[in-house]
Amino acid sequence: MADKQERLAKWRAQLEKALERFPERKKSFTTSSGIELKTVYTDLDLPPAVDDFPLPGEFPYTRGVQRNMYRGRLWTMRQYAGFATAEESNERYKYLLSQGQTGLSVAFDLPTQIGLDSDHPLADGEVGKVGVAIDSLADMEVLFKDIPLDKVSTSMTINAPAMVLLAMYLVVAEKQGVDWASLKGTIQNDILKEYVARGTYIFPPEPSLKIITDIFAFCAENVPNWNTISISGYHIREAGATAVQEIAYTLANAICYVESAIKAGLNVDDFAPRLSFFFNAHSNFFEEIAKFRAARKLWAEIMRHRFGAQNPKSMLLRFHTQTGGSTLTAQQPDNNIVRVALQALSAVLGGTQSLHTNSRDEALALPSEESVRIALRTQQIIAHETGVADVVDPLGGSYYVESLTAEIEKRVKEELAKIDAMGGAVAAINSGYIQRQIQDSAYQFQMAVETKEQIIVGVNQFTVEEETQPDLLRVDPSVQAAQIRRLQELKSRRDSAKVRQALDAVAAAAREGANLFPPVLDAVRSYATLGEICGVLREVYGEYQAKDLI
Amino acid sequence: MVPIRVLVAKPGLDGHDRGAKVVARALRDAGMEVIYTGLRQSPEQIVRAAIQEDVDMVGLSCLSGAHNSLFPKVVQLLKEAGAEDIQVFGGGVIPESDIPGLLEAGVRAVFTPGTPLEEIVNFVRESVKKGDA
Amino acid sequence: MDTEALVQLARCPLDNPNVHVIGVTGPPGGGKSTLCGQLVQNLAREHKVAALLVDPSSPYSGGAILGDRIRMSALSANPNVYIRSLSNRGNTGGVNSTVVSIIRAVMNCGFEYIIVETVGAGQSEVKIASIADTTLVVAVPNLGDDIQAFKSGIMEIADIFVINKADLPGADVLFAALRESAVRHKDGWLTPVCQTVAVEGRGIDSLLDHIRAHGDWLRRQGRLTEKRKQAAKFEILELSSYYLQSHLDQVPADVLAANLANKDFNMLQRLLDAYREIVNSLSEVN
Repeated sequence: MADKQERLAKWRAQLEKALERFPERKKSFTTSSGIELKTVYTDLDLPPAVDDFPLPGEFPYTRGVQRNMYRGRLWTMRQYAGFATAEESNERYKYLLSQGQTGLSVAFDLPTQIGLDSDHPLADGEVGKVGVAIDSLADMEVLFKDIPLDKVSTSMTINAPAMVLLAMYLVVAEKQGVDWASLKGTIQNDILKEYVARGTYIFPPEPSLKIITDIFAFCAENVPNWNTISISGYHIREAGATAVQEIAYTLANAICYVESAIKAGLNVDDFAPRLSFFFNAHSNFFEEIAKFRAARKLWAEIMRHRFGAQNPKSMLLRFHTQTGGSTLTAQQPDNNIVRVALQALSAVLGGTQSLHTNSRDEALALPSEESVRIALRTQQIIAHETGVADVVDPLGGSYYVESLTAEIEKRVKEELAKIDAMGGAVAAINSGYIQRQIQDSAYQFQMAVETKEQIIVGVNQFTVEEETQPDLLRVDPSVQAAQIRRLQELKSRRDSAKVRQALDAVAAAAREGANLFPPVLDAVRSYATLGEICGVLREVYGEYQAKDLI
Repeated sequence: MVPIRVLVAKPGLDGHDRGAKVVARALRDAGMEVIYTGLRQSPEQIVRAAIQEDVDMVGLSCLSGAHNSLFPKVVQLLKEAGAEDIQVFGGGVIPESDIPGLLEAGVRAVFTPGTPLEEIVNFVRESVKKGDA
Repeated sequence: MDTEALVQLARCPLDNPNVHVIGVTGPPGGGKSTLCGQLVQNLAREHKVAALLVDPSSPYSGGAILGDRIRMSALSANPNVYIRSLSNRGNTGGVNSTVVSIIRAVMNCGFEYIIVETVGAGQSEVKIASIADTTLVVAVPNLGDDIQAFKSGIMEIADIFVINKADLPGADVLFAALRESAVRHKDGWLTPVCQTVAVEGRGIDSLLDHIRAHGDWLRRQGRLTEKRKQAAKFEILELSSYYLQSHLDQVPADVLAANLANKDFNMLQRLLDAYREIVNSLSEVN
């Protein structure tokens, strides 16, 4: 060991001499999280954790949640999709399934995500724009027409009104004659990140947490194969957070959810196996790989030591990854295909369970069919042509990656300790701490771009005179009018007395603190609209008022 | 020298405020007074705030694709309120082909992803100077 | 500074007895903004209310992010409400120098209540007391320096103490301490200690009762006029010193050089002589 130190010292001295004549490209090389990087890493940099002879599929799962990972089954290729009408989305889903996609992902429009019907004044101009408009069970039935729910796995990106949308999905399955126990899928259902990074909240934190634990309890009994929450770091990263902050705030939120469920009387091993996560695959290649590995180790230890989980399944950090949308440029959009490929590769080398690759036209509008196909092919090429899926955790043992994994773990722990001292995620959100940290990182990054410390190809360097943009997807503005008409027709043909009764039952359950799922199911069956159900809950719980400190 | 006052607003339901906040900070660092409205503002609310705060410019940020209906609405309502001296500019996820339509509707400039902050700051300064003339 | 505009505004009367000017101050983290939002919301049900919200400017750029309006977002559609965000433009003391001019303008537009929320940066933000009819000092339990606060100026200016976030532990300790120090203060007006939980809207009605009671007391005792005179004096002092400062900043270099080197040239003497003349000429009102 001393011999190695000596050799390293000599090597460094030689390098320093050379640097006097040939300075490096930057004064220091850092990752997004500000971790300073050495010129080269050696076995002297391997952290103690490596001495424990970690293996994939074994606690603390740094190297992977399963023993043989992609050798057994590739990650799920799940492309986020959905827009305008339920019919068009239904067509797109059938197309993707025929092209080899293995799971469906539903994107909802903003009014739906915020629990508003398409005829609400604030919905004006937003209907069908970023996803499909779902106002009632009727729309959900069209969305999944001829799609056998027992044969697909569906991920729904829905948060504040997740209970209602899941209830609609369950009723569609019911009508198809499919047993709820055979349903597979996920609802994002992660309200805490909405307050700091995504903005589609409805109610304040406390009642929102109650709704979430109601879902945990109901599904543990009735929909056992459903992932009831996708605790997300993706959006936190997109909002400007660093890699360390992405993991720290996600885990802080996760800790809060687990605490809430335990407080509500659930046994940790009953719901924890169904918790899943959602991360970002950003630009710094090795930092991302190290980040995923560190996250697995951190979560396993939190579940075992902090929450006393016994079931190994409770300790697994299973996650979906999406390549970072904010890294894509409007300039020279084809470059984005390359960015996405590299980010996707880092996610695979990081051991993700499922992956969404962005389309090249992401910075311009919703993706065209061709762009979506290229994004899917990117994953298929990685899976079948590169060989990276043939060995588990191929970067395990790399001096650099192991050192970076340990460093990220250390910094995340420090940040988590700070949040614990504040009283947890909700307290940190209420005081604005998390929001400020994220905004500061976002501003710092922007400054780095402005000063060209951070190069963005095609934007602040290697620019060209931009040509006309490729064919973009346009959402037909008549979609809003058509959806509003459908709503009116629905309201005229349904049994309004039944609807009223069902809505009153939801309100009563909310006031009494009973589990909301059963009355929500009944309301959904009666064709009460999303806006009506959420409206009743808004009256009982109130609306969250953002404080928004800059 | 009276500082320039700018209202930075998020019309509609889009919850992505990273860009709006970064622009707000940049304007502040350039010596301007910035009022940030927060999320979920209707065009009516934005115009009311702009008039009460007597701002020189309004900056709108939208990433949900609803800009074609929301931005012109703000311009129109300012006009109806007799406040067309308040200039409107916008940014977000906006296809190039939508920009001429927005400019025609009275939006003074549209800043798409990748625009350097300096450009936006200079635009605001120049516009206010011209407006005073 | 647009002196023309300020001179015009100075023509608006400041003595309207049917308007109640309420100042809100207190250390940061006290939930002042939320509290002000609740006060405005309550009052706006039946009255026209103006809210002037002051935020600090950046010492580097002079710019500011004025972020208090956001907390009153829901009120911005209410026709009874006018909200104006202000930067303190580098002034210490919690408010900007033109705030009284703004109050003059607003006072004569039919508003019955004017709420001024100050920058709560520290213990010296006490100028609001020279401007408002009723000054609220908002404290929260366990901010760490409760005892220190009593010794500083900020507690002395309170017409009403408000303990916000009164559901937090330590609220009763703070209540008792404030009660004690309050009794020794104003004679004739017993400074009440109110408790609120602003985020939940609790305690607001009771606080408003005390605010109105203070307003009635001021009028009955004839002290309202005193308050407004104080505000007018504040206005003159602030604006004149600001004006003077901006002019002095333009003193040519050779004058400054003379002031340093020449014992027969005393700039300070010249200024004082000039002021004496001006003040003497003001002593007659025609």
